[in-house]
Amino acid sequence: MAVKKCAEQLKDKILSYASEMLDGKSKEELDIENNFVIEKDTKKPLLDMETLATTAFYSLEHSKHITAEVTNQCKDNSFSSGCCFVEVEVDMPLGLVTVKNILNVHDSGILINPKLATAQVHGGMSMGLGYGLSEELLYSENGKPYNGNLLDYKIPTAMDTPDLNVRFIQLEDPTGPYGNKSLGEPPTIPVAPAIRNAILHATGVAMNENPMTAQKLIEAFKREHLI
Amino acid sequence: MFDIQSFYEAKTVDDAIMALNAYPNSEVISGGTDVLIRVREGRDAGKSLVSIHNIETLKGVEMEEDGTIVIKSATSFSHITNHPMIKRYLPMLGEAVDQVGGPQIRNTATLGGNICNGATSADSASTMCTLNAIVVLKGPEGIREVPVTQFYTGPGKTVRKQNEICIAFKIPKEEYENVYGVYLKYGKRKSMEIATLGCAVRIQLEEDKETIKKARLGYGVAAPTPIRCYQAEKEIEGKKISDPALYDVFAKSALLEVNPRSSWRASKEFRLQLIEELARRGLKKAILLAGGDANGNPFAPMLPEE
Repeated sequence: MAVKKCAEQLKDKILSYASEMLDGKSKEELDIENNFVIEKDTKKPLLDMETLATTAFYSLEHSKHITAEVTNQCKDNSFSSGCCFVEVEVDMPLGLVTVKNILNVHDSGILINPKLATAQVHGGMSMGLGYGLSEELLYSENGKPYNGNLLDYKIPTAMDTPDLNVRFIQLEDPTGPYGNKSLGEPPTIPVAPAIRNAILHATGVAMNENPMTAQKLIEAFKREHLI
Repeated sequence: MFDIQSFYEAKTVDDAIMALNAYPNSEVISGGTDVLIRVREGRDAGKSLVSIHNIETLKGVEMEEDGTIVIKSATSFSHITNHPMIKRYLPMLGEAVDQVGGPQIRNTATLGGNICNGATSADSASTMCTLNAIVVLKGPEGIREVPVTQFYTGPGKTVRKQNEICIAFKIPKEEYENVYGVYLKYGKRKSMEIATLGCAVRIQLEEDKETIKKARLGYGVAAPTPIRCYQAEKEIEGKKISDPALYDVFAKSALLEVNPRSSWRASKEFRLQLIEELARRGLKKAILLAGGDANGNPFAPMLPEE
């Protein structure tokens, strides 16, 4: 919303200066398209942005900086929602969890760039998988990290990652600048809990510690006399 | 930058030995996938490197007249995996080294380096132990042969002297003819990984395909060095594959011969669980590969009712 408001302010200032440069044209008659100031009704290009910018900068009569600055304090944004479905196979004697199928579904309002949105969800799912199953920074008693390198800190590789499925539900949100809601953090949130619940469903064992590594799973399975 | 004193590209094996002998603070490098990590961490600061990377006589796989297979030490893992002789006679070794790290590592890391680096976690080591492979070393005093099962003296340490080069590995015919096996690498992820535990099992069945004639069990990361579990092997040799106690006997016996430690990477209890379970699975797989019938084995998956 801050970006939208700021862009609108900047456009207005650009068109004010354009109106000065184009005698007889009021800014209400003007618009901007493809880096040109155009006549709104006819779409006729009147002035290119480069000339406008250079003139505003170097003019000997009326040099003017064109900038805009906006603070948007949001007090009424809607929650973004989402969920993760996951199917796992648990090799109990070896503590190995294989994610056979995974699907994230998100409601983040109207998507502005669907491919980018999907990529964002892929990233979050990937992080959620590592968070739930393998990533942990281990420390000695006096605080020295044991596994501060990319071998021993276990980020999942492509071989560990299942196909990541993503769906969206697009409902226009009136509090968003273009009917959109957030999607930055939601993709990461439901993944590890879904895996945890799937493991519970598969084995009857409730894990309440992250990551759910093979060693921790085997310890839990032994405690419950399952292996 | 690498903190090394000098780098010498040897032209022949004897040239390399002369260089190693002349500079007691030098070490061998070929693929460099272990050496360069040590150097980068500063652990080999000030050492000189003698490269055997370009010596063609140290590459390849051959067979001697008596059927002994000779694997030259500077042969890369990917070349071993894809070599027709390995695929035909030693597929277990080809598959074992195909599980090292990632494709880039496998294209340059060598069998010689993997064994001589002395790590218990080396993916080739447990398999080589179950093959009773022989390490061929050459130094200023000549050539000597050491069974791989006697090659290791401790974590990262072998009987190879600083001025000796491993030039080849020999695998006797009786170890690969009609003997089948599998190397199970257990890790915390499926690639770019060093084994949490490695288990190598080889089986030869009698002609009736019902009785075990020869058994071999080797482990990596179950002790400070790669090991064989001779007792577990003896326990099942002569037994029928349909013997209901077969897997229990094998796995439980193995547990008595290993010596894993607890570390921040894995607890001792976790390692023992893996050692026991992988012995069972390795044995099952090896028996199947050797032509044994898997019916009635305790690990058939439970299928949902249709």
